[in-house]
Amino acid sequence: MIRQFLPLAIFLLLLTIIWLGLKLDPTMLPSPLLGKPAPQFSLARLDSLGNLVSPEDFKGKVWLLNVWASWCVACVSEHPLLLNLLQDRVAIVGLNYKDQQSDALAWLNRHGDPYVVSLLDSDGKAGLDWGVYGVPETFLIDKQGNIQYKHIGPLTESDISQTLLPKIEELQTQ
Amino acid sequence: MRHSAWLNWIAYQLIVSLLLMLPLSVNAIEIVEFATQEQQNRYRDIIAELRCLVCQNQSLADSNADLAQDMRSVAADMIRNNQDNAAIIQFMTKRYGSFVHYRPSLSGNTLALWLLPFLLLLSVLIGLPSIIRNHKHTPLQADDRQKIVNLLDQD
Repeated sequence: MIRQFLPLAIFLLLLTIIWLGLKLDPTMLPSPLLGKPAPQFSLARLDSLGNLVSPEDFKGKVWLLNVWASWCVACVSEHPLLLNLLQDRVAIVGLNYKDQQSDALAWLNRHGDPYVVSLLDSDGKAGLDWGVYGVPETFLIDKQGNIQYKHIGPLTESDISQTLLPKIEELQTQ
Repeated sequence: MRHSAWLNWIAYQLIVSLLLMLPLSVNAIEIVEFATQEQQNRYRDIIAELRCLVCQNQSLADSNADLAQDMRSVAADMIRNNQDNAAIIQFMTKRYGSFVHYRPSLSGNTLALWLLPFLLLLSVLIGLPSIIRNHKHTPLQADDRQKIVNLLDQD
């Protein structure tokens, strides 16, 4: 009796596995840096190239690293959310990725500047150390300097209200 | 006669153009110089083993993406600094995860990835004899033969 239903059972099992697999997005790579210390960098400020900034400067507070560029189309859609929903709740540090200083400053003038500071990563080396493979990406770093969350692609309102803000609040009360 | 000579000429032109395109398809996108042939070989091997994360079905050797170019240049610099291929792979894996390597090391989550093809092959090989055995032909009954003849005669 059982043997008759074996092909059907195997088929249903395969169907389930494939159905579950199709729901996953292979372009969303989990970051191997979660729970680990933020990779070090020493980058020039976009507004003041003579001054260098590193993640050490933000120890003791919860902060976001938002990877952006003036050539990035998707960044325009998430930018208002950074200005309206996040700027007042958490310090946002901009990582200006593979961009020109003049283009970047012009873009901030045009779209608004939610960042406490933006840093120039013109060759993308710092981004590579953080595992950046697309723009925009957003990292959440805790008071001890460890990366606790990474968001790939532009942030949406539901991403912020349902995932990011709760995590920020939780880390801020630690 | 003139027709076939002209066709021959066209064919000759096409074949020569195709042959001239061959060298371009074998190398990486940009030309990278190394001091020794050994370094050149290592570079060629390592960029074929690492995945481009933007065009995820291409290796670093094949991809035109900006990020692939950055990763290739980092790999080239590491080779020139006499770091071995394992160090380069570890560098990339630390930043991007095991997905970046086309031959990920055996660990908890890659175990299924490695073993599944062999398990599937094994189960097919085990199941095949019994499937074949079950597909026995039932022998023809005596009156079946007469029925077949009758049906064929109806045409």
